[in-house]
Amino acid sequence: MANAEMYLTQSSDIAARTLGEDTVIMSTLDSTVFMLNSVGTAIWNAADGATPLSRIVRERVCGEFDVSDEQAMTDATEFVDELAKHGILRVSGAPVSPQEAH
Amino acid sequence: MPVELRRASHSGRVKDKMSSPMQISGASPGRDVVIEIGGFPIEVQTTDPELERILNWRYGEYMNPGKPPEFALRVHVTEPEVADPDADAEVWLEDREWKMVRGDFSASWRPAERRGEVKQTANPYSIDSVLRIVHTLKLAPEGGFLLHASSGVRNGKAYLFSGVSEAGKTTMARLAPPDVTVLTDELSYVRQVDGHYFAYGTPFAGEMGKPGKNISAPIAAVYLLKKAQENRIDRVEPAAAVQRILRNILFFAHQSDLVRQVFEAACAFTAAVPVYQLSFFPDQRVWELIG
Repeated sequence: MANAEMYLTQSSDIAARTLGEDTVIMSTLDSTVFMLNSVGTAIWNAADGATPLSRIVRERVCGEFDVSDEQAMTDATEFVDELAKHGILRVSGAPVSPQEAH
Repeated sequence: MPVELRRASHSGRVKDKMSSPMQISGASPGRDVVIEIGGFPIEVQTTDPELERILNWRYGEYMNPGKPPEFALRVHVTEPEVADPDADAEVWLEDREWKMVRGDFSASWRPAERRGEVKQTANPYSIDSVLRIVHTLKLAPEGGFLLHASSGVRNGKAYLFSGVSEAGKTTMARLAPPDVTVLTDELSYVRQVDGHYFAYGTPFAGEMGKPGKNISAPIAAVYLLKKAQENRIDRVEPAAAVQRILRNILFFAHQSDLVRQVFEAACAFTAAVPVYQLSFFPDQRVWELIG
């Protein structure tokens, strides 16, 4: 399962605002606050439930920032796990329809 | 480039730091009192003469007996029990009634009926905490909030000095020169009025142990405090400003609507008011940079 695709959707239990290149996200469940830098914001904005993480990393991270594919994927996976742990991102193994995403 | 993510823990704790002994002066027993903080008058009703004396001592400058109250809180004084006033308060909404519980008090507030009830002993800390909670609930839908910050007015403008415990809030208030009117050394009252932000004096005191002056002024800037060897001011980027202001906003209830209101309030506030980091060495020279 190491190469299983991950599909991301933004939780509805959050409040978020992108300011400049950064994004502030607050969980409405536990009031924790996160700040994403430009790379995190790129992943966050691409979390549409239909695009696999590997493609997001390839197109939105490696294509925009000076980083290797392998390092980018490792960092992105850690990032997704952390946000998922706090219920800010939802992760599934298959694409999610727009209705399910919301 | 690594994906960076920073998490901030949120402050939502009622801990009264009043440390000076009470000096209670006379007041006629059995009268209800109207306490107006932030332009928001609340009538506190009690038949307990000891509590009434406490209220007069604690909120003297904030008493406004001529102002029609927006709602009334009836305080029922109970017998002392072992309780921890440093415990976290729990606040939740149930059938349109806000419930507030901590070791040393229980309270409820029904906004639609403009009244509430408090059960506590005759002490200043419990009612003070209830008032703080009620004000946070009242302010949130209006885009205002209570901020862990000392504040002062200079040349008609208010300056807020925000930080966690030990950041230097009380130090900044103590160092204020004579031309500065201190609004609070602990908890600043921020209201949005017609798109402009104002700071109000509060009786919510920190280590100075005395209430701030009961005046208000438009907010010119917020300084996030950081102790250092030299004085320096740096502008804080917008997202970081929102994150750090959110970290220092006092609120208790975690209903999603309320959390969103607080989040939007922080975003709107930081868009309108410049936020700086104030690295400072704790002596009077720091005030040369302010105003």
